[in-house]
Amino acid sequence: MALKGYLTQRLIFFTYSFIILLILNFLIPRLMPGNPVSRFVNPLMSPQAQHQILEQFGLTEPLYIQFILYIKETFTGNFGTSFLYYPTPVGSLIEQRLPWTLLLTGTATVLSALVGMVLGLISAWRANSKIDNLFVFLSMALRSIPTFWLGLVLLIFFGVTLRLFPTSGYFSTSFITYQGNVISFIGNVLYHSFLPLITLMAYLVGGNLLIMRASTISTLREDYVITLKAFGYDDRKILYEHVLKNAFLPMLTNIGIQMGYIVSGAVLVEAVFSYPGMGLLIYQAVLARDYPTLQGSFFILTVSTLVALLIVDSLYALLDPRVRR
Amino acid sequence: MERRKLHVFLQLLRSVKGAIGFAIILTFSLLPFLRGFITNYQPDAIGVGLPNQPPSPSHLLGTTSLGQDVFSQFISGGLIPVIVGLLTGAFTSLLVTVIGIPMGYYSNRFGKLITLITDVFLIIPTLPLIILLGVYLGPSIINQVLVLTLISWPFPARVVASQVISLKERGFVLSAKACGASDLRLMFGEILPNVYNLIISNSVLVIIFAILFQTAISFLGLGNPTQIDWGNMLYYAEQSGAVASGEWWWVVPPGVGIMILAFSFSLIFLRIEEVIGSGRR
Repeated sequence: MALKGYLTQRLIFFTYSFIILLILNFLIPRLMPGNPVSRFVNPLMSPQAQHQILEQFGLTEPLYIQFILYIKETFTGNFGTSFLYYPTPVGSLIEQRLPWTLLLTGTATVLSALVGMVLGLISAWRANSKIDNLFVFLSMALRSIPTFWLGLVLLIFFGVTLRLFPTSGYFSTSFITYQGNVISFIGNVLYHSFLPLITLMAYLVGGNLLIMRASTISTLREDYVITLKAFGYDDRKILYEHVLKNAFLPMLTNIGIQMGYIVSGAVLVEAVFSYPGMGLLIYQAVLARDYPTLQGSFFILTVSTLVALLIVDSLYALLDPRVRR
Repeated sequence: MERRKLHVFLQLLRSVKGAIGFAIILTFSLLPFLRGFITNYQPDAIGVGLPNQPPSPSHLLGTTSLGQDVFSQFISGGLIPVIVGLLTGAFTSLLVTVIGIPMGYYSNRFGKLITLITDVFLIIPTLPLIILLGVYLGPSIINQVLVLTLISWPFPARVVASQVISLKERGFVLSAKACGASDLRLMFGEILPNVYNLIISNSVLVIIFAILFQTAISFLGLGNPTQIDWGNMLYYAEQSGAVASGEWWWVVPPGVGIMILAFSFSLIFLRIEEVIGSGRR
């Protein structure tokens, strides 16, 4: 019963969020100073063509009709035409790029959660030992490094100087024509994503480790753990069967909070490594002042973040017995 | 009151953490003005050396693709992050005060609406929104501060609001209310002095966040291209292909600068927490 209530409450929140996002995305280009026409139509086109496109998108209509049209276009996935890749629609650009970003951010989120969890457990179990101090220090240090700069440095040392890893792309160009087996293709993709993944994970692992450590330490002090110890239960059994579950929940909450940061980090990391996902698309769109692409990317990335958060919330509901009951 | 503030400030300095933090920030803020005593090269002067040269006695950190002196750029590049950070911190505390306190104070529909909007802003991926607004507003320090402020307020506002929720049921607020004090008087006369410390310590966290993101947006090409800051240095390094050809001397220094700057504000944050903590006891 409580589970149903919890999920309904979250769904209502996400619906409100989506509505606010829709309004925000509509208002931003219209409220900003400057020439509004140049935001929707390529300024290099002839005045007649510009006007025609404005009419086609209903931008000559009053604001409320514009809003209705905007809602209709958004729900049919029409985000206008890219200036940079004219005449490719923004929608199909995003369609090509989004899966790569989801792959990168998804893998980084899951891997950093696992690594942070294991290292955080070790740290908490041996609190104030040498290894714990080292882990805590490293986490703090990693969190104060600007993510994209770490990417630049890793790129220079491992990509350019040592030539251990490729410096751009998501698979070798030979795979475009070569119909090799799937395994070697996946291997190639992993090889290309390794540096971007490590860069993105550096910040996340630190945060997860610190939270996991803190919540494990406080769980270890709970009465039921002390009781289990007093009854002579095996330390490992206590850790895996009783402590882990409870200590994991705060980290899951943290992953939810970090979601927006993960997307931001991915944008920068992709720009640095020329990893052709949404981040690189946005980076190139910034340099070319490609407003429709930026607008569409912002919308889709925010919707993706909402969906990811919804997944985290559902996981939380599944794992936390207090919600499930 | 003035004397008390001065006292608090001195207390911040009277510790290793606070003193080191302030010293580093002051150094990076003053270096651009003292540049003439340190190096003969202007940071934006083109062709003072051969292009793309590694560090040497005449150019301590090498040269850029335009033959500019990297060391001169490095010591000039810390002032703008500090300015943007401090201004963002100041504006954000103002926003947090006028949004966070009512958010916690009102438990009616109005309060719920502010909470909802704040929560939605917390979810929106920061950088895509910064980029979108930055592209529309155009590059300048003030626009960078505006955009960063617009992004920074939700989290501290939420922290302050939750503190206000517990404060508004306390005796001193209830008795002021019984004496007929208005909502405004209660919020800003009674509650504000009690969340003041929380707002200040959170604004230091905002400064750190702003410094890191200022660099990021300059790196993405959303900074003023004529201004010398660490993010812009990295932008030009990337655009000229210095990263692809492994010119570490142009890429490493700006990032180290940002880390040191962010670290010194973290030290000040830790010191503020100590001072506030001892005040509570």
